[in-house]
Amino acid sequence: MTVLLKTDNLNKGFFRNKALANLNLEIEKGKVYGLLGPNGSGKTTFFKIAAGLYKPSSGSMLIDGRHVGVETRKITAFMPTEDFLFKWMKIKMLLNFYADMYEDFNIDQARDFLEQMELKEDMKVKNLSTGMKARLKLVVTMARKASIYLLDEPLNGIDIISRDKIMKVIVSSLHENCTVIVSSHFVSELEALMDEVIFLDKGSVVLAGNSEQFRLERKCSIEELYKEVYHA
Amino acid sequence: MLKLMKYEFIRKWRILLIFLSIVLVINANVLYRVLKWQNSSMEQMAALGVFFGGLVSVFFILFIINVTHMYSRDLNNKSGYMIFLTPNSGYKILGAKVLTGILEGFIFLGLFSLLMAGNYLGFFSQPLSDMINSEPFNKFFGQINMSVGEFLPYLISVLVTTFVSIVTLVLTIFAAETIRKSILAERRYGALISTIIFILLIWVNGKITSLVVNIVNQADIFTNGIHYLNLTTILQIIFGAAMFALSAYLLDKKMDI
Repeated sequence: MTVLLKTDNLNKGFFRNKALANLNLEIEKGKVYGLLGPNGSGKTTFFKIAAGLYKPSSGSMLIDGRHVGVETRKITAFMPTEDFLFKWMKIKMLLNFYADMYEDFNIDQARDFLEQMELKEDMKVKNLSTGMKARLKLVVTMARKASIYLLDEPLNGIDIISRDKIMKVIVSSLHENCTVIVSSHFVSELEALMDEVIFLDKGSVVLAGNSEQFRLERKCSIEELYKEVYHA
Repeated sequence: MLKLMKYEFIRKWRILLIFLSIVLVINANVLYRVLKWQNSSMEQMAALGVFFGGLVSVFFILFIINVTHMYSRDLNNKSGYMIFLTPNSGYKILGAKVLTGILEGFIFLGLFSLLMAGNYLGFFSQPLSDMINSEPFNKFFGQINMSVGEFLPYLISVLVTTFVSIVTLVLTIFAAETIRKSILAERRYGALISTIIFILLIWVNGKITSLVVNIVNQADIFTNGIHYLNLTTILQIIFGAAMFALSAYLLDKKMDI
């Protein structure tokens, strides 16, 4: 299997806190990874370094053999947890913005997703509810034909009905050879999606492997394994 | 880069339009009061001159605030992700901001020139013509002892030097803001330190410029004042380019958004 993302002794600190501590990871092409861990385990920091928003304190991260930068941002689609979309835009302009900025953005696909998410192009971003904004973030992220999707808590603040819609959009966007790394507190809802799981704690990997193998060997679900790993 | 600039303008056109409307209303009000005034045309023109002098100062301050805000807003708010997640280098992002700022500056300048020309030529064309043909006016310009052919390069040099100095000032502000968000991000009183750095950068720029100009002056290389203006322009371009390169490098390599 080809390695798409590789970290080598990756460290990231903020003031005196270490968000990532000597993180060594290999993410393979064409798989869905669940990045799991309690708050403060380093999931968001990992995503932001991969997206180029944060710079490592030391160590390295390579995506498709290149250091994170302009070239890797062309093939990386990141959905942050934050409310980051331009509030002054209408959804229609937001789609145009993405089409202008990303060569791999499929505007027809985005319109299709909008319909599934019950969003309309003439809606203004600032007037959307939290759930609608979360759905819109996912629409613009998944409408890209990226090599790697980084989804940070895509189900956060979403009601059960919307969660189903989001899961459908994620599943329908997966294409051959694309890699997805998704983090969530809703482990059970993502369980069927994940090929591999990575458990992080205090910025390091505490357990990683094939989710099916874990289920067979340990005779428990990933959610139960999560509780076991973090002594919940 | 053009695409980034396009969205900066789309974002701002409404504010620019509102600002333009406010300026037009204020100008109409001032013009009405001046014309109602029972003083001589010369005094009326002088009063209008005071208004336009104030207006250009307000335009300049608003321009600097606007350009600074355009950059710091993306560095300090989560909406900056929209820009920094795109496959554009720090150089392109910064270049788009600077070019947008320059274009906005020209819009401000064009608006100001149109207003001033409209006011004076539309309402004071005769007194203006009388003033230009008056004896004291001709005497004053006669003392300058310079033909139009000689005066024009001076005027162009002054305008170019002013333009380059303003762009360098904007780039220095950007550099100070970038240093605060990158190298000083984890320092206490980062904002205060970056303000001190900004003042220091301005001081260093002024010091280098005056030092080089003094050396050239002592060497007696230039005989024409225009050369000093050109030298200042070149020094400002070098300093501005250094500020640009520093900011773009920090954006790409050191900044956490």
